[in-house]
Amino acid sequence: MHRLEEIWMTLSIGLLVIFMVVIGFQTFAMGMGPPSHKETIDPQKVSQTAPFDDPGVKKMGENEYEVVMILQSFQFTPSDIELPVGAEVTFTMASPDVSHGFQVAGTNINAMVMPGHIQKITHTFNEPGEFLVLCNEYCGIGHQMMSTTITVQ
Amino acid sequence: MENALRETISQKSSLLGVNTEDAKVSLSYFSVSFVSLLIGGVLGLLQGLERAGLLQLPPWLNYYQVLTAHGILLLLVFSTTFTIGYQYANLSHSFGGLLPKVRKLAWIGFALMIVGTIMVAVMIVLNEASVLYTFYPPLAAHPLFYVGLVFLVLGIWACCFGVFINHRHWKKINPGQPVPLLAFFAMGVFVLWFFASLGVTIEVLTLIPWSMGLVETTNVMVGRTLFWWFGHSLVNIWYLVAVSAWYVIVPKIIGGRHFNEKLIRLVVILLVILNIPGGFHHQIVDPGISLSVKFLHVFMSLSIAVPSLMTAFAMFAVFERAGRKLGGKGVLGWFKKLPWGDVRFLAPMIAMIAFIPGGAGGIVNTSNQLNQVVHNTLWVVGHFHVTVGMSVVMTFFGISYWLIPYLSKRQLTPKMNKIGVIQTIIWTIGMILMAGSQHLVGLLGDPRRTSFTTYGDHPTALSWIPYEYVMGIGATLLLVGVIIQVYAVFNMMFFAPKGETEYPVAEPEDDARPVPMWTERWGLWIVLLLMVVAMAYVVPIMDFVLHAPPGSPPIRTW
Amino acid sequence: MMAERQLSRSTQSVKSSNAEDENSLRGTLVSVGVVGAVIIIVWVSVFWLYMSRV
Repeated sequence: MHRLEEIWMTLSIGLLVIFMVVIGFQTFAMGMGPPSHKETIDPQKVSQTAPFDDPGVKKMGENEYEVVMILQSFQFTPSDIELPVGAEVTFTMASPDVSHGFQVAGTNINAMVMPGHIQKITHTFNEPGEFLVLCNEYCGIGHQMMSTTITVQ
Repeated sequence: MENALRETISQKSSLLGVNTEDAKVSLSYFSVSFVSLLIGGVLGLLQGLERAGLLQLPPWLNYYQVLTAHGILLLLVFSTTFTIGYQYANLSHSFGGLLPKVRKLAWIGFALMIVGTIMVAVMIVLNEASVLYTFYPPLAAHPLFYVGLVFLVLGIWACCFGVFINHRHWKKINPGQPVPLLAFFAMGVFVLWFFASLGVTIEVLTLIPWSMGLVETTNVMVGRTLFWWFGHSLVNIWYLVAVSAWYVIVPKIIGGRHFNEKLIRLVVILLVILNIPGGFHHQIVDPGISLSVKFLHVFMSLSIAVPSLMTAFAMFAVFERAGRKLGGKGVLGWFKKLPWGDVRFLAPMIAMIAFIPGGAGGIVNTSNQLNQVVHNTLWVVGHFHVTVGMSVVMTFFGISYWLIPYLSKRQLTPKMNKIGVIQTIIWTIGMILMAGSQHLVGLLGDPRRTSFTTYGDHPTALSWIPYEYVMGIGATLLLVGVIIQVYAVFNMMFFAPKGETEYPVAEPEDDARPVPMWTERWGLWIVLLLMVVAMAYVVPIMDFVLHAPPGSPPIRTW
Repeated sequence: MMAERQLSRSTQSVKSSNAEDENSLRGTLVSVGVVGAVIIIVWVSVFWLYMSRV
């Protein structure tokens, strides 16, 4: 191998290693890994299975909330959610039909919700505003209408 | 067999090239390829305009039908048929003709693919299969859609076996000789293709009885994982095909020599071995996969970047050496000396340059939690239009300007070259506008695979619309590019002046060392490939199966 | 072509062109430096966006 090529390969692979160290540190030391919840659920009995038999916004502690949510073609239940500024919210989600994607535009909230699997993602809303919630996985003819809002005030 | 042997040897003694019979195979594949490009391109424009709210589709045609057809026609049919046409021409050229039975396999593959494509297309047109290119269960298409996909895969396998048989035959009659470099690439492409398609084949075979109602439920996560085993490998197969032209064809066109063959072969081997697990980074925000498995896949996906980093150096070195021979001075003077006016160089060169942001975007996509910023947004659409739509497709276009006249025994005229240069410029501008705005608006959250919507006039969604206009403008330019390209291809096939065209295959440097024979141990590379696949997939798939939730019945939501 | 290629290799004078070559590949090093810079810029931008949204 050419000497300059060795230099390039060392530096560029080093760069990839740095990227991995940064995201690895965030994932394993700071709990910032991507949504990866591992519980399962019968997709045909979602609305009879706790906690999805009672979807809604639940206050869990001091400015700490859980939103139990069903994503079904083509709506979010509950919808038009209201939360106080600084709320740390965990979304617990399931789908009774096809795959959906849970995304809140302008935030890092982006998670797949697959039938048969419960998915969770946590986010702290530090800024007030009306956030757009949308389904980002094709789920059928009305996919583009599947949206709601989260109002933080 | 004996006959075949004699035929091969007699052809070998004459000059290498592609004989008429083999040329027919390649030209037939190219015809299907560019007809698919035309239809897929028209559908692409329809989508681009609908997405921006500039066009309303008629009631009998919905956005998702168009999107499904666009994806399958371009990502499956166009690229597959082009690849086979090009790789078989390379094989015929390198081996001095295909074996008659291999040629027959190529025709069988051709017939199977046509049947498959027609079945799939009819189901999409009938709105029985608006499940997009990924057909994630439990969205259930008509059973014939999946049967059509099986035909497509069988067609690909026929071509894979053809390559393996011809390769083995050549090795037998040329003991101790390294295969020509283009044939080495062909082996890499088809070995990867065969193993990549295993996953999706299993998936599709389970979906057929399920969509017919013979089986009640299916395991959604297993299906999705098997799909991406194939889905991401597929784009890397196109990439490997493009790379074969970058390493072997382009140096000859610019009057240079190819890079160190040992390194080129190493790049091929690494791409073949490391590629399949790359699909997992499509599932970074999926449930049911532990963080440690995901991080293993971050590592495995990033390792695929390594051969491309090697390629970056190699290609610039080839350019610099050639440019200096042409009188380039200073640190970067060689850059200007390259034959920018030659479409056979210009198109693949822009393709290579596009892979710089393309590859960088890929590194972002696979960087674990950074995927949350981009997953299923238009960023991803921009990403694969830069990587596939520019890096791969522009290389294919560049190839067509010499290979098609070569096969049809015609010439690339200066006028056609000029048309090609204009086509390349239009395509480049179109892609920069479209993919550029997709990248940007994706970062703002605009989702992919969604027809025009303002989400009830939400201000966030309204702020995306200007970017979507730019996308529409880009898509319009791209269709102009498609039309010029298709015109050029069929002109060179049937109407260009008769004559001889060069098959540009680069030679090694004068002081090149002999090719190490250990690079040809395909058995070993396949074992390593399978080990890497096992490392990547055994744990998560076993996990999905052993801890499976009750399955999903077929669902139709369109 | 195969035989021709081997012939040309065997009759090659064994010349080490390393010193001259190193000089002439400076442009390549600069070019891949640009590649590295693009990778860094793209990655850091998205990382910055991610962190600003945490």
